[in-house]
Amino acid sequence: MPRYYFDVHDRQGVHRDEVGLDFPDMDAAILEARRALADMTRESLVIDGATDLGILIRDGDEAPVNLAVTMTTERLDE
Amino acid sequence: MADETILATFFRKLEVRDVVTAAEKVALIACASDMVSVPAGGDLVREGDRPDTSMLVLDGFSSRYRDAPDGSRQITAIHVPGDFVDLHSLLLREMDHSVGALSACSVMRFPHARLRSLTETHPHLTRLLWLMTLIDASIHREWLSAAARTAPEQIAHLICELYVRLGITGLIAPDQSFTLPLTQTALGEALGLSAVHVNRSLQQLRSEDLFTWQNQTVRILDWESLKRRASFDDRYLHLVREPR
Repeated sequence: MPRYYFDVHDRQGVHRDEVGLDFPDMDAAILEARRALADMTRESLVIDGATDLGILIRDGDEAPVNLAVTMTTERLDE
Repeated sequence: MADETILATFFRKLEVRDVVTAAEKVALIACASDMVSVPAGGDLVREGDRPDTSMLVLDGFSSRYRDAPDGSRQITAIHVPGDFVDLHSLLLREMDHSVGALSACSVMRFPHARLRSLTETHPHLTRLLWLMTLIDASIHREWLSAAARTAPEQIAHLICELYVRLGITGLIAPDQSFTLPLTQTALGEALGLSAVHVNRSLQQLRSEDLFTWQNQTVRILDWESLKRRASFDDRYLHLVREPR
């Protein structure tokens, strides 16, 4: 199985993945990244009340794929 | 067939919680039948099985798990060397979960018929075996409480727990390190987190210099800070030696 690397972008910066994980194909890697984003979004919303998260999936062959989640809490004045 | 030294890690776990007499040790050893080896990735017992022996892991790490229909796995417990992992099947009869080897395991088998006789002749030893399954349940409760913790806190908590459990049986090296044959995927399956989130959280913890984790070896760098980071309290491991 090919190895995919998941670089996480969050409020603290970019965290480059040096370890990677094995998946059958890029579609499976994207599913994993979505699950991770859901986990991480939940956690950062609890801590910060807002989130700005992304995962860039890299591997040797295919073009990288970027997934991003932005969520904000705004009080709308009338 | 077994001598006392071969069950020493298990007796050590009991002796942390109570006094075990020489006669009780002899009685339990007499219940052992034979040893089997299970390779890493193999199963000691599978969901749905109706075993006629219970297994005590002499050496190696194992996990209690269930596989969901979608192929995902939930690890519900991690067992360290010396754990009597499958005392459950003596009374449950049909396994509602599996026990798999995280690393190569040497396992001592105890026929249920012998264990059943033991419970009729050795009430105190029976209570100690009962206590071991209660502590397994206590650890499950602690893991269930993890929902309130962030991912780095959950990982830190598991490291604290394993450090204490391995320390009981002298499996912590003088440099405060221990073997942990757990992949990031398995760690995610144990904590209910995606492997990517585990990876990111480990990076976060690494930058805090609380412990290192390389090549299946964890080394504790700052125990007091790690305990604080994890809000770890060992009460649920019941480490008090008193009459049971």
